[in-house]
Amino acid sequence: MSVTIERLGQDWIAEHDRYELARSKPVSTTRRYELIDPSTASARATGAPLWWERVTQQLVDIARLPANWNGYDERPLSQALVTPVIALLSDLRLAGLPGPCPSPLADGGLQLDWGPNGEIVVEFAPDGRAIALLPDQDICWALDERAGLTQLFNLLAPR
Amino acid sequence: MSEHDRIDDAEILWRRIHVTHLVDTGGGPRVASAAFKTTDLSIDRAGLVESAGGDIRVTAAGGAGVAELAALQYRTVALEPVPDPIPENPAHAIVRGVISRGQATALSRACVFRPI
Repeated sequence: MSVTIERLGQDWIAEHDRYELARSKPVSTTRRYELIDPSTASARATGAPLWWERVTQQLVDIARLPANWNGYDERPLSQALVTPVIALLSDLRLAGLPGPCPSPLADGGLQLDWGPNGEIVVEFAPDGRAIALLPDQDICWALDERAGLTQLFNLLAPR
Repeated sequence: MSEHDRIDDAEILWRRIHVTHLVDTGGGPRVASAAFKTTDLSIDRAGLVESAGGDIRVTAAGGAGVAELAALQYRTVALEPVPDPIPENPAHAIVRGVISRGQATALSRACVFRPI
């Protein structure tokens, strides 16, 4: 199990390093974001948000949690989450959107929170599927299509 | 108070909070709703812990602190904490079943975080 956990931590770091390499290439800084279409976010990057290092470090820490990490029979973070979580964070970063606060879920999933009281939440199930939630409005939608991501990004965009 | 007695509305219940469930999203540290998203939520009855000479450090062992809620606050969101004493923890209680996202959010917002 420890090998698996170490591997997962290394995967996070590898994804992070891959992203850093891509970021070192020149990008256009002539446009501000419209923040409506994540598929074109990479063309609109203006720089690294302050949250990136914090969040990726938190994810590495979460990825290294063993089973039963809080004494209530929790599962370690699912390895299936590495790619989709890093992909979402990279899109957020490139779009200049605020970073989340990550928290592990007892079943091996991951939660991302935004807002002073967690007004916007993304939950990743252990199999990698993600949903976005607005807890105060009892609304949730899947993030498996671009429309779902666009809806999330619009909510996260500064007004 | 006995470990088998019904849990009164005013009784204080503690839930261990892991450091990764403390988040700061702009309004200061708070307990993430993820801390309550589980099945068969384990809690400790504060009065029984204290009557045995303990304090929050007993429940919080290995964690960052406890989330403190009265039993009534669970019942307000249609959750029922019931005694569940076990040999190694007579103060143990449990909320059986799956905690919904809405219930977890309500509990996380209502709780008081008590750090160790």
